[in-house]
Amino acid sequence: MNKINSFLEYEIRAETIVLGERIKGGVYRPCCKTLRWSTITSALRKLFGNDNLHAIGLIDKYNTYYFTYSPQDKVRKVSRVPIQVEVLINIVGRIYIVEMKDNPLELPQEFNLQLGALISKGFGNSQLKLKRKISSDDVKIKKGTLATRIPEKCKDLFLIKKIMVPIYGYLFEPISETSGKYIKSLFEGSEVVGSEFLLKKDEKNEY
Amino acid sequence: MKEQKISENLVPEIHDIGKLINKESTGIEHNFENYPGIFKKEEVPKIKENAIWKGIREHHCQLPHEEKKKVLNKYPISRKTIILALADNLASAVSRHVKESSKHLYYYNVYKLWNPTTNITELSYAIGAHSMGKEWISKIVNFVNKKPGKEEYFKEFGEYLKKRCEDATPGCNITSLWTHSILTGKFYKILENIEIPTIDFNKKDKVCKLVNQELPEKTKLVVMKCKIKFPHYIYRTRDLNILKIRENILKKFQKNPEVLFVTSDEVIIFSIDGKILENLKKEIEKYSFYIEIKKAVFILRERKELPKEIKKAVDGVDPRELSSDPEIVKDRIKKLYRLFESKIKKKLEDIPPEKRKEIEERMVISFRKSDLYKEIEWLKSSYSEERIYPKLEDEIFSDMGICEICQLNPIKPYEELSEDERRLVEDEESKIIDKLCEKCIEIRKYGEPLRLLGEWKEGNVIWIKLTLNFEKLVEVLRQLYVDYLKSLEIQNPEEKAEIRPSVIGEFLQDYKEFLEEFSKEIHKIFDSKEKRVQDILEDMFCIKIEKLSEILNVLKIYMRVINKFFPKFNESEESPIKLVISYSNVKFPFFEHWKYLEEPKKDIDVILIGKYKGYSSINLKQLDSVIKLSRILEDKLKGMKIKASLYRLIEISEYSEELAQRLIIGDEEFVKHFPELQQILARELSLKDILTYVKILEEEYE
Repeated sequence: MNKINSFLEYEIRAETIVLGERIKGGVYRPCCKTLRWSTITSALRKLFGNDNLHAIGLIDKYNTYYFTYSPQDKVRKVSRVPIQVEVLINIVGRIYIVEMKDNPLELPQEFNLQLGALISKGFGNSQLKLKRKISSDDVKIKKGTLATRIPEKCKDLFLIKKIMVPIYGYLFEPISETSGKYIKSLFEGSEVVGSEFLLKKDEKNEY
Repeated sequence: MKEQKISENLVPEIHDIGKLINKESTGIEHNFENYPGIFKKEEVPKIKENAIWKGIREHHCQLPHEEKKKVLNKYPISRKTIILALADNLASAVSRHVKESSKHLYYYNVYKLWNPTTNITELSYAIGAHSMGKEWISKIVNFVNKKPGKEEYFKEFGEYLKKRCEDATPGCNITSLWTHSILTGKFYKILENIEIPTIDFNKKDKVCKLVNQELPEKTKLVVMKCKIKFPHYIYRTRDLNILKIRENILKKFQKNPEVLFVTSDEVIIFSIDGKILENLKKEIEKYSFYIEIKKAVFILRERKELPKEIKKAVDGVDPRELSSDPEIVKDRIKKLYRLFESKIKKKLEDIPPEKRKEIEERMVISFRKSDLYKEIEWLKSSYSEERIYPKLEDEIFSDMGICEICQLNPIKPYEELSEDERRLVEDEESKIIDKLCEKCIEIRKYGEPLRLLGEWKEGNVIWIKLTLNFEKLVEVLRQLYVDYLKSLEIQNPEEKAEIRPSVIGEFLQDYKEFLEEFSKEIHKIFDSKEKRVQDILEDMFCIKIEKLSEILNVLKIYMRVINKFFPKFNESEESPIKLVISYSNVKFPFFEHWKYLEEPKKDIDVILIGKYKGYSSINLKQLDSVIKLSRILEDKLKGMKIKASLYRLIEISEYSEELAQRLIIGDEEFVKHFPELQQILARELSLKDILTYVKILEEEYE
């Protein structure tokens, strides 16, 4: 029996966000161009104190900008080599929060969320606004290209019915305040049969 | 007659050696069944029986039919020669017979579809040897009598095999005997273990039916196009070893008989059971690579006569017909679906709107019972795509985190690294330590360092990558083949022009030579004063440049070399060979370049990163305009600045390209200075493309 009741679709808007990639380019730090499960879920869990919450996000519009700063070595009180960080600006996206039948969510219509890295430097302030509630029965299932990053173990939660051609990677999942583990995940670009809202737009989906 | 057992080694590659002898003048058939033809026995050497001679004599299985009354008498009378006959058919350039011309002419030269020459009707002229002389015939017979291996054969007769076409029938002369011999050898190995039923070898008609019909209809061949990909982000020069490793893995695999073709990142495999993939998987696991596979199951020969409309929808071929590109099946499925869609559309046109839904439903039901539907279902079941990954853990517990390059394995702690390994992960200048897994450290250790790239600490570089798009290649070659058959006035060329593995093999030999010459020219121009070219791969280079306009030198070399080897690609809408040039400061992270280098948008992409930000993407046939444009701009830029005007036009063109063009035409000042620009715009160079080249040239005059 399907335990998923619905998905809460929020629109997310932010002026600047830094979503650091694990990969680095020496002094250059590239930015992830999607709102992966780990980033959005951990931010929402922290805000609402709900460890059972699951969410993913997609970025529909953004521009890029580069920010250079020198992190300080706090012990020696000297600046390290300047680092160039890729920043996403003028972001508009969507966030989908899973609501289970046995655990209805009571989330505000609108709220602010701090997302990503360099929050202390003023990045990551995002505004979320509830757009609609989609019943799991109304979700269209289509074949297409995944536009976000989801742990493989959460694929049923987001109604991914079949993994056709995967692109794998790992996402971080905290276990406690100080530790965590890396879980095998489907990355953007994977071909799947699943919820239409997870897929890249402007694709002719035939299934 | 009982089966003749052949205990010695049959060398399949030598089966067509007789095609190097002029049959018309000597009377000797290419299977030597009537040797010594017009000669007296004492004039030429005697044949000393061995397995190779058996292969030469028995590799054909012909019965008289309407089109061809005279046929070869000998036929396979052993298991080995049955397989050789099957392999020979499979390796042939064309399987469906192209009718001989009424003039009974033969063209012995190789007509390269991408670089054609005049056809030659005399064998000796075509191969450059006196193909009817006693000396030549003696050389061949004595050679086979010695029981040579395939290496000796290619060494001794290679130059002639490359010049002589496999089939001299006009329209069939599109591949060389060299390629055909290599492929026959490979197919022989692939088919070596197939099951052959017991048969009465006395009955030629039964053997012929087995070889030409029953076995090909029963034998399934898995064709796999495997692209080796990697999740790694390359950012230090030593990480470029990933590309070298990939190239070397593929080169190692090329020796396998099931591997037909190899490019720098792709391999085409023909196999009966597909087990070869297991070996490839083991190799790629060592470096966390993964394989993207496109796979199709083909039968060796047409199985039955299909309704004409089905054949017509897929360009006249049987939809199940063998191709070197499995993706062709996907294309055929699409075409058959379109056939169904167009049928529905046509039918519904005459139906009143209120009844359309009902009729449409009825049509869909009847479609599910049709031959067309069965064909689509069969094709769908025969085609698949998958990605094979190395074994990945569901969860990784690592205090250190995950590798910054591959993102698939835990980081190897710094304390556990040797001195040499520490040097490989630590940047001397910034002191930043890269956190890598064991496999990625191994990649950094691999092979020789890219010395020049490591030495360049400042200045600008261009990354150059050439790519062969296999799917496009098959499409372009097919169209060129249709054009060739049309020029010979052969009926229904669309139905006959199929691109078999032999044509691809022939092409890849030229492609290899093309890459070698491009590399030679690049070194000649850029290394003249000091060494500025860093070779990365056979098809990839990095050059330290002094000024942006040197990009034009690369384009000029490219135009010269591609026109020498593949002049016909200039006439196609899209070329199967792609060139990407990406420019930036030497310190700019390589993985940003790689995004462009790996996936070309059009035939020639030029990307400028940094101060002169720009992007141009053109087709090969527009390259000539770009070179002309650069000459015009070179003259004009010496005296004036036009960038501001162009910027204004580009802004406008984002809203309306047409309006921008009209403004150019209407702007008297502009027309006065750039009358030629109108012509260039007419050749569909966008304003953005033009601006990129203005920037490339203007740097010099700033």
